[in-house]
Amino acid sequence: MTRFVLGRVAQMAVTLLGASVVVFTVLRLMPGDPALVYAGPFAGSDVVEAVRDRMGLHDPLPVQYLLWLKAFVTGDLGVSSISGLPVSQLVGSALAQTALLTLTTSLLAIGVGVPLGLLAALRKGTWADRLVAGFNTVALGVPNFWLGLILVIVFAINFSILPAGGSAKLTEDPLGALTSLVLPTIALGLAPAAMLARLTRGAVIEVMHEDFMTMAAAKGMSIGFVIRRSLLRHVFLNLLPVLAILVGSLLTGAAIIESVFTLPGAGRLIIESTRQRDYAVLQTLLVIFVAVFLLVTFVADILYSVLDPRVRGHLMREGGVR
Amino acid sequence: MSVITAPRLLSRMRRREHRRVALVTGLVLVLGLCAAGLLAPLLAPHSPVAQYPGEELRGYGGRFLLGTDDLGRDTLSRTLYACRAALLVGLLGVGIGATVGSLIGLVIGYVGGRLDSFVMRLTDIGIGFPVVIVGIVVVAIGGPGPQAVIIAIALYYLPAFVRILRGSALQLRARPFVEAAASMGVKDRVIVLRHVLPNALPLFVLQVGLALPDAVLLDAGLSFIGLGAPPPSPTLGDMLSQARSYLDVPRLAIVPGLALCLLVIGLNLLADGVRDVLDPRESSERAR
Repeated sequence: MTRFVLGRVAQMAVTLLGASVVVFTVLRLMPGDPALVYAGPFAGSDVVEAVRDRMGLHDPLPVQYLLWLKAFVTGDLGVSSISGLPVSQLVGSALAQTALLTLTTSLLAIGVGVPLGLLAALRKGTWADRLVAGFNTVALGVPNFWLGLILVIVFAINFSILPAGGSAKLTEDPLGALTSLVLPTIALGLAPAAMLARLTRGAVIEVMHEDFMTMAAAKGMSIGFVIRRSLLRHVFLNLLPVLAILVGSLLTGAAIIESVFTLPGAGRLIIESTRQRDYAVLQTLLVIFVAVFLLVTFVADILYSVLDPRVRGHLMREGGVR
Repeated sequence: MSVITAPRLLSRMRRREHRRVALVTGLVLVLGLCAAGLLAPLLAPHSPVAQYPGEELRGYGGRFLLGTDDLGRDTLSRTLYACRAALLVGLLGVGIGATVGSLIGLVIGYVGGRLDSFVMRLTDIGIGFPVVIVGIVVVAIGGPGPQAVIIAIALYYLPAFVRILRGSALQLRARPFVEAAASMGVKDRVIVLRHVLPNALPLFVLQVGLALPDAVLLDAGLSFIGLGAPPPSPTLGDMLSQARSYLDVPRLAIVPGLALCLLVIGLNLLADGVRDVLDPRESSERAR
C-alpha cells in the first residue's frame, strides 16, 4: 500500500511539473506585452523597458521558468501586475468562493442524484423509474448557464425572492453569502445530479445481482438493512472515480456560472486576468486548477484501493482510475 | 443469471419499446434541427444580421414570428443560423479531436513501451486542463471566433480519445488475428490500418456520438463568455449572453435557449440509442 501511494505521489508530481512547463510556455506564446499593459498606454519606451527589466522579461525563457518555479515553490507568488495586490490574496479569496460553490453543488448533486438513482433502481421498470429517466434526459440537456439565466428571470426579477448574484463574504454576511449561492448551486448542480442518478441506478442494479445480496436476502435480512449495510457501500465504490471527475468538471462549470451570477470566484478571475495579461495571477490559477484536478483524482484512487484492494494492481499498471 | 419468467420478459420488451421511443424522439429532434440549420438560408424569413430600425424588441407574432432583439434583428432567423453554426462547430471540433486523438491512441497502444508511457503522461496533463481554460488560452493566442472554439473543443477531447483508443488497441494487439498478421511479417503500419483500426471503429463512432451533445454545450458556453464568433454573426451562446442585458424581456433568453436544449437533448437521446444498439450493457463510459 505504501509503495502504491508513494508511486502515485511521484507520478502526480511529475505530471504537475509537466503541466507547469505547459502553462508557462503557453502563456509566453500569448500575444500582448505584459510590461506594456502594466506601464499603460502613455508610458515612454524607457519606462516600459524598466518595467520589462523589473519583471524579468529580458531573461531567456528557461531562466524565467526556473526563477518562477523557485518562487512558486517557496510560496512567493508575486504581485498582480494590474491591481498590485499580492497574488496569494487575490487567488486565495477567489478560490475560497469557487470552493464553496463546488461544495454546495456537490452536496446538491449527491443529495438529489443518489436517492433518485436508488429509487429508479429499486422500482426498475415502473413509472418512478421512467420519471427519473425523463428528469435525467432533460437535466442533462439544459445548459447550466441558460438555466441560471432563467432562474434569475423567475426568482430574482419576477418574484424577487432570491438575489441574482452577489459578492457577500461568508465571514461578514453569512446569510447573504449563502442565499446568493442558492440559484448558482441549482443551475450548476442539476446536470451532475442527473449524471449521478444514472450512474447510481446502473451501479445498484449491477450490485443487486451479486451473490452477497442473494445471500443477505436468503438470510432474511430486511431490504432496508441490506441497502444500508451492503448495497450503499458497493455503490459508493462504483461512484468514487466518477465523483472525482465530477468535482473537476464542476470547477470548469463554475467559471461560466460565476460570470452569470457575478460571483467573485476563480473562474471569473481567470477570464479577467487573461484579458489583462496578468501573468502572475494567471499562472498561479492555472497550475492550481490542474493541481486540484490531479489531487482529486489521486484521492479517489487511494480511497478506491483502500475500499477494494483488488484494484491496486490494476491502477498501478494503468496509472489512474481514468 | 436468473431465470427469465414471463412477466420479466414482458417488462424487458416494454423497456425496449420505451427505449425505441427515446431513440426515435432523438432522431426526429436531431434531423429536424439539422434540416433547420442546413436550410437556414431558405427557411429564415429575414437576414440574421439585418437590423430593422423601429422594430426593436417586438413580441411574438406578426412580421417577426418570434420577435426581435434590442437591435431590431429577427430572433427566428438568428436562431436558425445559430443552430447551423452550433452543429458545424460541434461536429468539426469533436471530429478533429477524436480523429487525431484516436490515431495517436491506436499507434501508442499498438507500439507500447516508452512511447506509450510518455504519451500517457502527456494525456494526464491534458486531461487536467478545464475546457474553459483551453478555450481562453486558444482565444488569447489566436483571437476569438468559431475556429478558436473548434480548436478548443478538439484539444479538449484529444487526450480522452487517445486514452480510449489506446485501450482498444491494447486489447486488439493480443487478439489472434493481429498476432497471425504479425507472424506472417505484415508491416506494423499495415496491421494498424487494416486490422486494428477497423475493429476499433464502432467504439470510435460510439464515443463521438456521446461527445457531440457535450461539444454543442461547450460551444454555447464558450461563445456565452465571449470566445466564439464575434458579433454580428449569430451563435446561441452569444444570443443568450445578450439576453442578459434584457432580463425583463425573457423571450430573448427563452427562444435560443430552447433551441439549444432541444438540440442537446436530441443528440443525447440519439447517442444513448446508438449505444444501446452497439453496446447493450447498461453503462458504458463517456470519453469525458
